[in-house]
Amino acid sequence: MQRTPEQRAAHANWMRLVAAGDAAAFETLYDEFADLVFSLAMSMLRDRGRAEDAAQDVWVKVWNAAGSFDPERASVATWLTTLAHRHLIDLLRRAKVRIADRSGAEPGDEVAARMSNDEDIAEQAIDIAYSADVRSAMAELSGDQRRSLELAYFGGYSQSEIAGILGKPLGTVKTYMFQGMRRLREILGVDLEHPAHR
Amino acid sequence: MEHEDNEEMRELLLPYALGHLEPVERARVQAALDASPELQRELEHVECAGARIIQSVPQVHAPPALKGRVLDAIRTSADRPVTEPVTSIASFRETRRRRFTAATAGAAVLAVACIALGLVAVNLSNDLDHQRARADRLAKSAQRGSELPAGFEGVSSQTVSTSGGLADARGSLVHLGGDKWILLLRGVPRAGLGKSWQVWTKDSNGLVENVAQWVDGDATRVITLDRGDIREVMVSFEPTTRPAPVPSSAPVADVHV
Repeated sequence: MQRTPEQRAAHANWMRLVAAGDAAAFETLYDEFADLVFSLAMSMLRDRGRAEDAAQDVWVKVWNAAGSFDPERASVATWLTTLAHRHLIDLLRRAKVRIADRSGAEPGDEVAARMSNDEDIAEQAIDIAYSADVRSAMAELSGDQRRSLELAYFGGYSQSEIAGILGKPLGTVKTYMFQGMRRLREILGVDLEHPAHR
Repeated sequence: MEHEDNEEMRELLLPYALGHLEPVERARVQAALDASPELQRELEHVECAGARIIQSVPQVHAPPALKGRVLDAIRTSADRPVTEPVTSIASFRETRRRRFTAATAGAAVLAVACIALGLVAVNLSNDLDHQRARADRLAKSAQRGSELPAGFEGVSSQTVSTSGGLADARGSLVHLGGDKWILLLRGVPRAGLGKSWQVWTKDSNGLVENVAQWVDGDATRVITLDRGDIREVMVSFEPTTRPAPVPSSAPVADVHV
């Protein structure tokens, strides 16, 4: 979702207040971005209960990390999305480690179970319904470029793992991701925007 | 040659942003970023495009009850003990470590309490709310300098090695189970004007992240860590009050898990 400069300035102001410990400002920030965080958690974890737990953890991190937000470097939406994404990737990777370790039941085992089904991984990763602008941009990519980026962003897979899933050499996957991202940036016009204005 | 180097670095920016690089490679990228404003802008563009992809997932309404849970969690969080910058950096520097003797380690109240009470390890509940509540209770108890509160059977702790500016400080890393950890430091001096103490975690992939910063001196500093994968926790002394992208010098406190 593209936001107006006024909205972005308001978001940055809320973050300053949150950093100062203003719970009311935090609540306002939550109301603005709760659906975004939860949607991302649902898309990546595919389990409502785990998504709720993960979203709660993300918001506690937002509260604790508000002081590190730099409006010169990124918009609040980008900052918050990046923070949430990293937390979710961490959950997915831990789930994969648990599969390898074959340990007992722990939080996130549903995720682990989902990811243990290798045959479904590529399909799950491309089962993402994008917003119109990103969907049309993704459609411009080759199938392998798109799948590589989706597996990385929504599956938490490393380039080596993606190479294994797609059955392609590692160097080829690196090229897919680099060229795919470069093409996306061109189509979405990202390079023309100042970070603080996103 | 320089052009080729920059091109190689550009290719590494996406895996860098996704946390896919090995520590050595990650450190190379970080060094290149430090030296090149152009590369920094390139990274911002990569992160921005990534955020656009991520934000484009189908929108689902957050359940109304979640807001109450989140606000409760914020209210009970112990004095905002952790600040975590989004930027995660993998540059780990080896450090000289001064191992504390058993007598010195005994000064850490929680570690002593665990041993003295003869507590045995038990499986802690995996319920995240329960763990959060336990972390909060233990943190508040430690800040008061009191013994372990009732019900903390099974917690394990390790002594933190200190040196340099924290040579006279004592510390323990307490694992509450799951992804809940508490770093306790006692006798921490004030960092000084424009300087700070900064806490880093290192995971099994070698990824080092800056998770907390503070300036003030403390009789007891309590830092809550929400991490499932911790292999090492370090504290560095930084010549800035802002979150540092990488430790600027060898850690002055560290503990291996």
